[in-house]
Amino acid sequence: MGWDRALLQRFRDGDAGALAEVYRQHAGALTRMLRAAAHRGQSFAALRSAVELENALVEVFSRAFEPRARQVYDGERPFEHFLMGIARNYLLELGRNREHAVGLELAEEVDLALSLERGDVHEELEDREVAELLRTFRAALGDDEGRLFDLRYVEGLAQATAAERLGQTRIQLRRREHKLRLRLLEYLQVHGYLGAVSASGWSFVKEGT
Amino acid sequence: MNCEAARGAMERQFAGELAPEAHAELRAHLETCPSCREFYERLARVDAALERGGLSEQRLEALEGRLLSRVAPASAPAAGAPSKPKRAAWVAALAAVVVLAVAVPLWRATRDDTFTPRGQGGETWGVRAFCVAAGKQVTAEALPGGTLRCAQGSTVQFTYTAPRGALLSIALESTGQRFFPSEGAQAEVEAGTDVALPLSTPIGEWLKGPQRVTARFTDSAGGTLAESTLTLTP
Repeated sequence: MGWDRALLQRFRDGDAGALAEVYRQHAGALTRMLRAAAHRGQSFAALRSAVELENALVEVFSRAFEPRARQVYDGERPFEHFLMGIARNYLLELGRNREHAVGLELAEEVDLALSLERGDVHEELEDREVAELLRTFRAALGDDEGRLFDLRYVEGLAQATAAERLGQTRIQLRRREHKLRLRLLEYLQVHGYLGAVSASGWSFVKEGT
Repeated sequence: MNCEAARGAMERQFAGELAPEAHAELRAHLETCPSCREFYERLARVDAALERGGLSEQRLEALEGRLLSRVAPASAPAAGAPSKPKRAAWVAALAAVVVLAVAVPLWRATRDDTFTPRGQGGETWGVRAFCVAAGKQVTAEALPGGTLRCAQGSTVQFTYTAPRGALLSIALESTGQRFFPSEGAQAEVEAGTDVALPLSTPIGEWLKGPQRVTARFTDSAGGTLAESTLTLTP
């Protein structure tokens, strides 16, 4: 279905409210498409990293919101396809620039391909680990929290819709979800999923004067 | 932001209560800290499982703030403002000496903070440079106007301070060769204090004698907000 003409006009004019609306309508779908493409590999493989995925999301929308791109989009074809075209170009550029920046040689490319294959296995194992942790966490929840968990994370309802289903305001639901997530965080730590990550980092304190 | 604060910010983000400004600081820290990045990736994996491949509303909101702060000036350019450089030109201008950073120290000034970069209206803008030896030990640093002595085999790294978002470039004055960004003439940076840039540059044959480095902060219309210079010497 095409865009509402008024929205398209505001989008083309660069109206900040229209840009925000477009982002909210399409960011979720684009994220899922990028993630799916990342699992298929090729130039999208870099997006298996959450940081890279989020960077890409911002970059793609940023390019889609440039004046020229706003004029090009016709409001008829699916906007996600338009965004994916931009994403493809961005990732190709990113790949080329990184190869140039680090002086990637042929042997290193082979190493990279092998490490991606190893990464596939690792990713799958970690996804399974997370799925199992979430399953056991859900099983241990009481009726009320379990219902909230199901509405939000099994049925995938937005907060506003889930709140309506539970006969609550969105603020009430957010508070409950906040507590639920804190409990999940603790559960992940207790079960060692986060404990293995050191937080030593690169904090630096100057020595001497 | 140090690692402890970053860990707290990531936990708050997961729980759905991280302010957008803290999100920007967290992102800057993640660019330079592998262990925090791994922690972030793990929490993001859980989020992705919960959101069935998507991002949580909290993450989407934070990214929306980042996106809109980036596109707002571009969506309503001042009359007669110079247009943004084309991306092809950015790529062609890639500085050959720039490599992806393996470590950038986050240096927090304490008792001897004499950092007074030049800017407008009393605002603080500027860059510091650090020399990092192979063992990732910082052997020297330079404030704006100062000199950084850095031997071959080490890398030079920068942090910046900006009171608001701007476009930043850091380059050798003599050749225009850039330390930042790795592509393009300039890149957007968010407001922050002593934010480590995610690039480091190995000291090589190119540094045979003193070389002046200029950091330039500009607005989206190309107007200079502040300039900061320092000298690199082997």
